Amino acid sequence: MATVPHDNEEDFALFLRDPHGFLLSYQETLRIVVKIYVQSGMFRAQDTEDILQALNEELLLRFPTIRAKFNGSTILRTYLSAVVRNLCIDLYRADKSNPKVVPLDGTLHLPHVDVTGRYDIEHTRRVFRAILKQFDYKLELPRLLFCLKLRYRFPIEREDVLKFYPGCGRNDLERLLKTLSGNYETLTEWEISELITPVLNKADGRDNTPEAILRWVRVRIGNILTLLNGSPPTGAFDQETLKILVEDFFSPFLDETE
Amino acid sequence: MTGSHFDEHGHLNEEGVALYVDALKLERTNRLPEAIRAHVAGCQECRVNVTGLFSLLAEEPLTGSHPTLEKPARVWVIPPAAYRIAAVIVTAIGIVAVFQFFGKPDRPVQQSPQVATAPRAPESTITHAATPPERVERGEIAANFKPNAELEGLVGSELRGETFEVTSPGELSDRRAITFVWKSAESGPWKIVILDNRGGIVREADVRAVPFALNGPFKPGLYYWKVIQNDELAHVGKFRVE
Repeated sequence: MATVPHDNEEDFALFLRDPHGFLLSYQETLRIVVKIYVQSGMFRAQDTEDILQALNEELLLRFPTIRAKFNGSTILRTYLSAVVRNLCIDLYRADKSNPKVVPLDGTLHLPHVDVTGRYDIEHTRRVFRAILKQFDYKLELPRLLFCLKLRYRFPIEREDVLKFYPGCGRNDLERLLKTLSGNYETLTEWEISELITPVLNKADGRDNTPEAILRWVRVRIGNILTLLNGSPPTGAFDQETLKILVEDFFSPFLDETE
Repeated sequence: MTGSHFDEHGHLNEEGVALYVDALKLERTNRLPEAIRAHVAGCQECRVNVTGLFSLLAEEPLTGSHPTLEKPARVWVIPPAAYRIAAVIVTAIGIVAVFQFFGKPDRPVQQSPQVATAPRAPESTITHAATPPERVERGEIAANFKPNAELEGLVGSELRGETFEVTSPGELSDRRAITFVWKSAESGPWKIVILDNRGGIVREADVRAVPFALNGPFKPGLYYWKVIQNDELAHVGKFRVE
């Protein structure tokens, strides 16, 4: 479904010289964006052409502002796609507030929508990794990955602790690994939190309670699920599907089937 | 650079979100400005926008060079140890030269028994070698003059189809203040935006009438300036400060 690669400098020259010409060259990407939103359920398939028309009209109308605001620090098509994404969200919100009457007499024709191609495993895996990269890689991410492993009861290794707490004492490390490096399915969330809180507090120089740690983990998982599902929500990821992604992250096993 | 990536509410604007997504796709998030990384690390709203755009474009190829996420220009940095070695050699040559030039003294120096000589402080092995940061600084200053391909394309182009005659600034400007003078078919007000060569907003100002002076100081570098009126780009120019 990918477009042909474009040269950014050529794009920019066209963008300056011939806005209409540039928009024409952008139509393929525009169509892909709308198709993605149709497949996710944000737009109806039969509205595709109307939506494309509306987007093109808005882009032409706003072109001077788009050009004035662009400072050349990013790939032009990425920037334009950010603008288009916001326009699509505005269209969705405007459409949502105007309910339409759907005839139930069999005259409404619903074209077939292909929902199989878009949310393939490789794409989801890529998005999940992109989500993780947005957390603070020095402080928060190693701790988050450690807690995600615990949440899903995956065995903990020495490196998992040392990544967020390089100065972890031998005794603390051994105490954690004694319980968490094997099968600890029978431990409750609370028991795990009580076990790890002293070490997390030493690592951060804080005095959090086990409840605070549990709350932090739940909020972060909620954040990740919101990011996976999108806003407005177009996905249906939950804690169980997240478990598959987390497991794959630590030991990749998911392959796109032919 | 970071000034151009945030909106009035302190969140990433569209260009900021786009830059982050480019970085994710190119696996160069470590080259993002720290302010952008730090903000996204702590802002779920911006993570939603970044992830949403990434999800749309994950399969779209990115080829060619990137305006801001390419490798930084290689700067020749001499390791400190080399400077110490060079300083020892220079000192040794200097001592030899002094002995050869002045020769041995005619008489030994008589010291008064009442005067105790202070112990000789060990000679410093580090003399006045060039400090390591100087070479790095020269490389950084050179990078500040590198033209921005996208903004160069805007310079001098007819944007609104009307005449916009600029008298000042010229190509080279005073770092203390920049004076803007132009003739335009439309009267003010306008907005002036000064950008560095990386597209970062350096200064912004509302202009009611020209001539208009913006006080510096401006660091040495290549700058671009935009004149915006009624949300439309009226003119783009550039100037250098040396």
